Amino acid sequence: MRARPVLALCSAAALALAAWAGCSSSDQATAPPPAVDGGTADCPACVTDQDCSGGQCVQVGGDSYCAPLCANGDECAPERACVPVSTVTGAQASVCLPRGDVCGVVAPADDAGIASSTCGALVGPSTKAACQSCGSHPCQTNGCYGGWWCNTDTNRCQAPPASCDGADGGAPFDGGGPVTGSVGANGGTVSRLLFGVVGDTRPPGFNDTAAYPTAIIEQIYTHIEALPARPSFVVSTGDYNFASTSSSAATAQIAIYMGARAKYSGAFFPAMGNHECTGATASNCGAGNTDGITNNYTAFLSQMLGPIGKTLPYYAIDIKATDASWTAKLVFIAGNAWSSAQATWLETTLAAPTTYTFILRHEPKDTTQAPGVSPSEAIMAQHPYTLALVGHTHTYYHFPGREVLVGNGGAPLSGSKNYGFAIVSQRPDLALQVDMVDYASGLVDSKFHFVVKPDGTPTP
Amino acid sequence: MTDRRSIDAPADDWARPLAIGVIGAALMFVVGIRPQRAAHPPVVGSSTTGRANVNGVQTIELHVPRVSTPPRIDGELDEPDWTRAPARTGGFITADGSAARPFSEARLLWDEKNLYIALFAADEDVEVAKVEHDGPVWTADSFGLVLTRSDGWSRTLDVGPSGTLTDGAASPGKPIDYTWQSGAQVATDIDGTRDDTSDRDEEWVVEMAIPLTGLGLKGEPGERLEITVKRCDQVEGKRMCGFFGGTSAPAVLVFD
Repeated sequence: MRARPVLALCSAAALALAAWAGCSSSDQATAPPPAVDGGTADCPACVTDQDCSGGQCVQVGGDSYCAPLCANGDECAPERACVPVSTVTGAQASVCLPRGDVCGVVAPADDAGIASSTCGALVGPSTKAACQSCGSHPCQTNGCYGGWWCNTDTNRCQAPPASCDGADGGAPFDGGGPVTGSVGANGGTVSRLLFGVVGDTRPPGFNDTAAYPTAIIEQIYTHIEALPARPSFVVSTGDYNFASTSSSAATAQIAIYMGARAKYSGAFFPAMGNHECTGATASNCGAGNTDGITNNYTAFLSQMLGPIGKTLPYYAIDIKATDASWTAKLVFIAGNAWSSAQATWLETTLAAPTTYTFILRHEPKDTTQAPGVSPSEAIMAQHPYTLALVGHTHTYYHFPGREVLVGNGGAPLSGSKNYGFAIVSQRPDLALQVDMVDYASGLVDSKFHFVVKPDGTPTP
Repeated sequence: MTDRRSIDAPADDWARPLAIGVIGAALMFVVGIRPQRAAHPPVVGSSTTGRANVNGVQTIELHVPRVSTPPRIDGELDEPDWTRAPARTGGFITADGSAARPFSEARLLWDEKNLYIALFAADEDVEVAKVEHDGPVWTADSFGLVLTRSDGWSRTLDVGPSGTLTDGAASPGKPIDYTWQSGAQVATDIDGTRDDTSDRDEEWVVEMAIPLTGLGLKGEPGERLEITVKRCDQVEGKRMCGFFGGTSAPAVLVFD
């Protein structure tokens, strides 16, 4: 259960009357300045500069706060850092922000700044770049002003990165040494477990094939293919299309997906999502079920499971160690094609002893509208397993316990995190390291990183 | 799970004299100046966009196609015109030009009677403001839309996942008049559960038909309206906002 914070206020009216981009938690109509809600003593909220007693009303952390200017970079009190930001009117400015994550944005703990003049696609002030955003201000070498960095992907100026070792202090993924052996449509034998997890790749709109996130998916699989230790296989958590059940859009979209997925040359095992039924989370497809056989369901079976020889939306794959030191099974549950037959199969499959059991299902355990979630959870509770890999929500999380959500494969992101993929990597002590890799930078999210034993319990 | 709603707002006329609404009166405290233009190059959101230099400011021109058959306002976006070649904003951006999170997008069409707008909001936790028409719908999940004529007169529309609409008329330096009624027809579709933090949602969609007369338009090709759309969401304790148009990348609708 998550606590619901009070959503800050921002009306179109405030946008019309006040500086548009500065609409903040303070633009509650009944809250005239300076008694503006939403700020703190160090970060008083504001709508305009008039709220700031000589300071500047600037945009930081998705909101707007008062802060003193530091045009020369050395005017700040010791507890504050001079940080380039955007004002509520959209201009660039440097202001003194409290060090640390006080105002909703992390100001540097010291003034050392970024040692390098580049950080991925970002180019620092003194390095030549193609941005052209100086206007009437003194122009830096990179084409920005006020200390901003140039993003060479977009040629737009932006605030400098807080660090250049990944958004959350990560580093390039280290998957260890190469894997020998192979995995095919019916499983395989490998020297160690190393596999990718990708989830939720549908477009934002209904039948919106033109907006299919092909480039993101291709980049994800290109990254996976290019990892120094190439994963033996990839599993996916569902939702490859957003299509009318009476149209051929699902066929077209899944064809795009399979084309993009071909950037990775290894085996691929997909789970079924609700969009492979009707799109409704509560839908239930398959012969004899409420929603029957839809075009989306048929496209999933033929285009995604056909290549690996599966005829049912639920199936299992066995993987074992070259030296016979461990065994693993991948168990794919179809929560939107639930039936008594699948329940019996799941019971039997989970009862087979293996060192590792990875359960793939589209919906997380809290999404009980999906017909197969609660009944499969009841069966899972009776058997050991390592991790439950799910999707449905377009972000990623490691929930308390053994459930891991990977839904950031290209579908419109519903949270604050970026697109990417997870990697499960077996260590010599048989523990499993799980990481999330950013699709653009290739860096891991250190906040997500965790390690579990074969029984799913955490371990350092 | 989807939760579909359809609401018709009462119609009013663009030229109706302004009356000061309760919320509008409070907004008198807010400085009513046109925002300064920043020097950021605009983001081109779709193939139907172009760029124009207006008073020294680069402006996105979003060309809105005319449709022969009006979409049914049911929140479904299943008419071919919504996918064939609508005007698309592309994903909203943040103040610094980076891609906004969570993802939001708008699509637009028009015919001789209405401007049709589809708003998409990816959302892990759909929260609906418990307010009525012309109430502070922005106290929970919502889009804020501002349509501005060249003479500075604006129409503001705030709409939430339940389809509750708050519409107002604004002019520079004056308070918002919430007695103005757009006559917009609104329908929404929620993929998730409303106001339930125990699970995780996917998205919500708004489909709107806004009468052109209320926007001060004749319904003729070539007419223009400046547009800004903003959407904020509370994610993991932080408010995150994205927008299309506005100070750093102003945008104008051009009716093709």
